[in-house]
Amino acid sequence: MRDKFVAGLALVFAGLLIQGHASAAEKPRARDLGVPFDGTPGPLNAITDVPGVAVGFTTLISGEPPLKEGVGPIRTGVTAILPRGKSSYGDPVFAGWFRLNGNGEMTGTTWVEEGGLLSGPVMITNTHSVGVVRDAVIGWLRDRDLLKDGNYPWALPVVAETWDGALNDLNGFHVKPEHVYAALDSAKSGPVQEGSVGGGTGMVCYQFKGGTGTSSRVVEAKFGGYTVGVMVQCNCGGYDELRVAGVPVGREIKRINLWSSLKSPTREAAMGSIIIVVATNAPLLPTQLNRMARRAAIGLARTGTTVSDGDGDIFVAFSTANGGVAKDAGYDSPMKLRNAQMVPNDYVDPLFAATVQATEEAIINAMVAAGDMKTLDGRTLIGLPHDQLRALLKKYGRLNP
Amino acid sequence: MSSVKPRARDLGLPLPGIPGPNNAITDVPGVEVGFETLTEFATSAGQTQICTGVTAILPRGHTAQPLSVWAGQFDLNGNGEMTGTHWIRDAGYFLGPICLTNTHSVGTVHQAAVRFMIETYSEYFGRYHAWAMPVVAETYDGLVNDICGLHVTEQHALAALRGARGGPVAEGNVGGGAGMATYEFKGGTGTSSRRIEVNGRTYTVGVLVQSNFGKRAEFSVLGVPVGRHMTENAVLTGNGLPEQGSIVVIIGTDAPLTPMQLQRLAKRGALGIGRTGTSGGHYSGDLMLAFSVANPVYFPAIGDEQPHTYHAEWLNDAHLDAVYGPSVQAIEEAILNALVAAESVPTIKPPGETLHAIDHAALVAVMRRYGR
Repeated sequence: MRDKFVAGLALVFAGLLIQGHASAAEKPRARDLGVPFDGTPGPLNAITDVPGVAVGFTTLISGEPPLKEGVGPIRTGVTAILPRGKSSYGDPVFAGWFRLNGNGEMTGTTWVEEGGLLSGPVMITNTHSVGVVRDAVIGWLRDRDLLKDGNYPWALPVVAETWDGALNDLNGFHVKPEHVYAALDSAKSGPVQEGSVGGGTGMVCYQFKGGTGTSSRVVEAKFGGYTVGVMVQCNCGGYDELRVAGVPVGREIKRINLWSSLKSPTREAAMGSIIIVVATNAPLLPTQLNRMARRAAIGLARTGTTVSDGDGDIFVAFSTANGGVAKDAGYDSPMKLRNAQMVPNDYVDPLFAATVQATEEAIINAMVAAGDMKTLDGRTLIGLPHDQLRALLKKYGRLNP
Repeated sequence: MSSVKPRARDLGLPLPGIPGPNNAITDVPGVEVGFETLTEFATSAGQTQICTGVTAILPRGHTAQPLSVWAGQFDLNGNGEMTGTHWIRDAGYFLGPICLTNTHSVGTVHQAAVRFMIETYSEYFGRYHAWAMPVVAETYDGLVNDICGLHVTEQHALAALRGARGGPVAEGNVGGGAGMATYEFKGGTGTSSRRIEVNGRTYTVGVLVQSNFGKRAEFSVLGVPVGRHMTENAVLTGNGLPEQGSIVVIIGTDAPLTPMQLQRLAKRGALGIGRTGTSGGHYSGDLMLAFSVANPVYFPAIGDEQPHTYHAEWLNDAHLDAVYGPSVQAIEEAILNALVAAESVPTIKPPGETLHAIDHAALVAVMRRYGR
């Protein structure tokens, strides 16, 4: 099994090379193309600028159209975001969440809502693989002896999804537990891959190729100098809706309309979802993190979507501050009070602004990095063309020199 | 098997209200229930013990047409999982089965439920753009089951789903309830129903619980403080452990209710639980879901013809009390039914003890003492 999987990985890499993808370091990102974003990013402009946050991916790319259910083509994967890296499972982070439109799944929100805590990784995959990913997270925790000795004996993993059935053999159930373990095992800090990677591999964003994107912001020293990092799995937006730095890019770039043949009375092509994960090292309480999660909707709105009925737009925000505060106390120890820190509410606005800015940039980063991909019926879904984007920014007076 | 076992009513407990013919959730027309139970008891110390399973509820039975049901949801204490609730909260309906299992098998069962939906509604998923968001909920059976062994497979869940049927429903150590504890007695799966009369029209409300909650000292039956008298073999209290269970309450009805009304009905789940004495522990995932099979509506998948409007009928709010009262009664009875039907099993955590079923004669004796 293991050998087969390693062989599979080799194929994945071969596939990537054949498709001519450059490595993450060489790829231009949205700001490299001159998109004028607000705010100051951290050194990596990624969610991993928040100290301790680790990200891992498993990307599954094999086979070619047309669709043969159970066989392929496979264009999917798993994304893992570990708030405190791999080593401190028993130390939950404070968390909040927000559902902008609930036509989707994010497991674990019942406890995030009740306890204000997030106890493990945040995973993102395709719609029909939520289950396998969830239980594999439990298997991974168990194998690392993390479901005993002072920790909760049960886990309620957070696993979210978006639908990749336009590019991937979704009903073939190609995500397996070993892919989940690989994403978790490979999680690390440092630069983060974008575009058609991990859970974002087969996603569609404003009818361009979408996927995984990230960005970060650092707030001014007088507001604590904290970092806000955002990661998105972007699969949403209508054909005409896309705006980049306010420029109506969606209306101006000719491309295929995936859904043009559908009998749909709803806004053409406004079918999809977005999962947004917001991380910060600012000491925020769960109530403040709920408010921060809502700001992700504002960042999303900057890219133009009006959010369709079919959207599962679900966001989670967490703070890596207050380490140890939410650890399980153990039922029979004598109670000791714990002190938690919080940013005064008068100072949260810069963190909210950072969330909005980084969310917007993460979405555009996902699209800039994604590249072209074939649909199940063999058409080419284009990535956001860099030269046309630059030309449009220039035309509307928004190109950064 | 289940017809031979006494139920709470058979013990002479003066339970209020008029149940349907099966006194089960299957009294709601169309509702079908299936179980897959896994038991493999350890015969020596250190051996793996499996005592778990899957319960499947099909709100509209084995119908090939993908008809949603209207629904509402409520969490009394959210230390638990119920998938599919985002869309229920936003849209007020869901498509597909409801499955109950142990905490660590929600994912496996979820994937099986997705597979079952793709199979069952093959045109909907094959021809159009559709995605599955089944409802899967859980309670924790680690007291008697090797929960971290992840023993539930997709095949087990598919067997429960495919085997679902109407008629009498098994109770106690069956399906997802196989390894559950209630007030530190052996708990599990329980069901009950009530006939409702509103302005001369008859409806049914049916309840199914996966019952796994409560500290012995709080246990109360029809107002009688039974837990204060039946203090023996309380496996958590005796080992200095906190209340660590949960309860999932599924309420089905054929009364025509809107999602808003069903959300309010789901809140009554907390009242039904409360009648049995619990104060709702921190470790508990007390999750309620209410659905109505009335107003069957086909929501076409993306790509299919879309009607312009729908028409629905619903109860005047002024008549809702006629639904609430019987629902609370049925929830209380379903929990008692789970307790009465359950059978003792050995524990693994703590090792070597027994999670005892409630002694029927002792329960009746306490009730008698209080004139009940």
